[in-house]
Formats: sequence, C-alpha cells, structure tokens
Amino acid sequence: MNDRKTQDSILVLECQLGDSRAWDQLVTQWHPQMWRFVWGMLGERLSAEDVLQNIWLRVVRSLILLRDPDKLSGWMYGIARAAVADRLREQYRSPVTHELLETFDEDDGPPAIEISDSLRVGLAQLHPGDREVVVLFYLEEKSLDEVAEICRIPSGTVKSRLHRARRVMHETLKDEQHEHDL
Amino acid sequence: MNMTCDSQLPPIESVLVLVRGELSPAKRWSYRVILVLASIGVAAVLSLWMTEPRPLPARLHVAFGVLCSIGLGWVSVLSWILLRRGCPLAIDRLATAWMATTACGLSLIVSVVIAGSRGSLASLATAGFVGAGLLGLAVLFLRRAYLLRATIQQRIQELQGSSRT
Repeated sequence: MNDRKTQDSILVLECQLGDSRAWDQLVTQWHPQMWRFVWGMLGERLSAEDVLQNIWLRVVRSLILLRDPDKLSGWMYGIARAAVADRLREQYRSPVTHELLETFDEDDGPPAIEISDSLRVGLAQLHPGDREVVVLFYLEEKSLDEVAEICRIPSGTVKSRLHRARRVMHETLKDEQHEHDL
Repeated sequence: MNMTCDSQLPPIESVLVLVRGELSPAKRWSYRVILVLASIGVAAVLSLWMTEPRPLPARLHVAFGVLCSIGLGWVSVLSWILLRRGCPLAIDRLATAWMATTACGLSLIVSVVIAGSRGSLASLATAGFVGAGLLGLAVLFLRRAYLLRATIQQRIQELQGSSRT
C-alpha cells in the first residue's frame, strides 16, 4: 500500500517534469475513477463527458502546482468537485427539464437495469452535498476519513450526510418499487 | 438509453488526445516566439520615440504611443498565458524562462544601440538601466525554473531510493 503511494508520487513528479508516458499512465489510472465520480454526481452522460474533459484540462494546467504528490487523490477529487459544482451552478441558473427523465422513453432495458435506473433516480433526489458523499463512499469505496478529507468536512458530518442520504434513497427506491409493482 | 450504456466508461482515447494536445509544445513555442519579437519591437519603438532629438508633431507622438501600446498589449497577454496557464510542465517553465531571458537580452541590446547612436548619455543610461532590470528579473525567473526542475528530479530520486530499500 505504501509502495503504491510512492509509485503514485513518482508518477505525479514525472508528469510535472514533462514525461508524456507518465501522463498517459496518469490518465489511464484515473480515468475510470473520475468518470464514476462525475457520472454519479451528474447522472447524465453528455453533461458528465463534458465535465470529465473539463477536469482533465484543469488537471493538465495545474498539476505543476501540486506541491505534495502524496495528496494526489484528494487533489484530483478536489478538481473534480470544483468542475461538477460549476456545472451544477450552471444547471441551477438555467433550469431545463431533467434530461435523465427523458431518457426513460428512449429504450426499454431489461428488469435488472431498471433497478439501476431506480438507483440513479435515487441519487438524483439527493442534495449535491449528500450525493457527493454517497458517490465517494459507495461507488468509489473511499473510507470515511478519505471522504472527509476530499470534501473538507469533519468525519461526523460525512456520517450524518450518509445517514440522511440513505434515508432519502430508501424512500425514493421504495416509491419506485411501488410504482413498478403497480 | 439505460444506465448500463449511460454509465459506461467513455473511451479513454478521447481523453488521451485531449491531454496530449494540451501538453503539445507547438502552441506554446509560437507564443514564446511572438513574445520575443513583440518585446524587441517595443524596445525598438520606445527607444526611437524617447531618443528623437527633434520635437515631434502630435500625430507622431500618438502613432508611437499606439505602436507601443499594441506591443505591450501582446507582451502582457502572452506573458499572462505563458505564466498562468501555458506552463503545465517544469520543462515548459524552463523554455519560457530561457525565451524571456533572450527577449530581455535582445531588447536591452536594441535599446542601448539606438539610444547610444541617437540620444544623450542620460537616455543611454536610462535604456541600459531599465533593460538590465528586466534582464535581471528574467534571469531570476530562469533560476527559479532550474530550481523547480532540480527539486522535482531530486524528489524522484529520493522516492525511487526509498522504494528500493
């Protein structure tokens, strides 16, 4: 684990130096994690892809400013959070019909996928602050302390947000299941 | 559309192309070359303007002022791009610092030559003083760029050493 962290630190420093192979490796390593976080937060493909590209542009332009390469994880999620927050602000400024609801009419997925769709609706019901904690804790499998560090909030606040999010999602999923049964 | 295809990981190639494009040095080299040319141009025009021995008509003062403003505008914008967002790598900082030093050195030579051949001793001293000051700043920037690269290389060596032991 410690060795992995050292390798990550070396990778960051090689990127800062200008090694193109190190950049390719950094992208390969972080692309899935960034996508899971962004998709979990936005729940809409086009928007998430756009934000993902924005994140990578920000990473390229500011990685040289990362003084402590040990903190790459928190730094990457910090950039992703900022990019997602910018997008959510834009969406709130010009509200449009929620695109994910439109997508339900486009295709009939198998039942197993409908449950996943319910999960997506459940995530969409959450406050962005709660959704972020759920995505990091459950989808990204970060520990409570890591989530607290990334979101810059105390661990107690992470716990209370998770508790509130679980309650909201439980109710949403229950309603979804009820509608599905009817 | 469903979640499986909606949440499917986008192809990494598009991100790699984006990142490689952003890291490509071609655009930054063109900025650096324009920066050097604009700096020399400003130094030449400013020296000619300030060392003109005869009184100039107002429209020529305006023309010199406009030319200097355009040149300084280019220098400011390109400096901002290169310093703020156009130097994502240590090697870029080094290249930019070298080009800035070159620009300041050439500007100093141009302004001193013009001031020496046309103006008084005072204008020569002013051109030399201002040029040397700017060159000093560029050298400082160059030193910092070398320091940054050396620090990163040293940290890599330290980490590689600790991972081996």
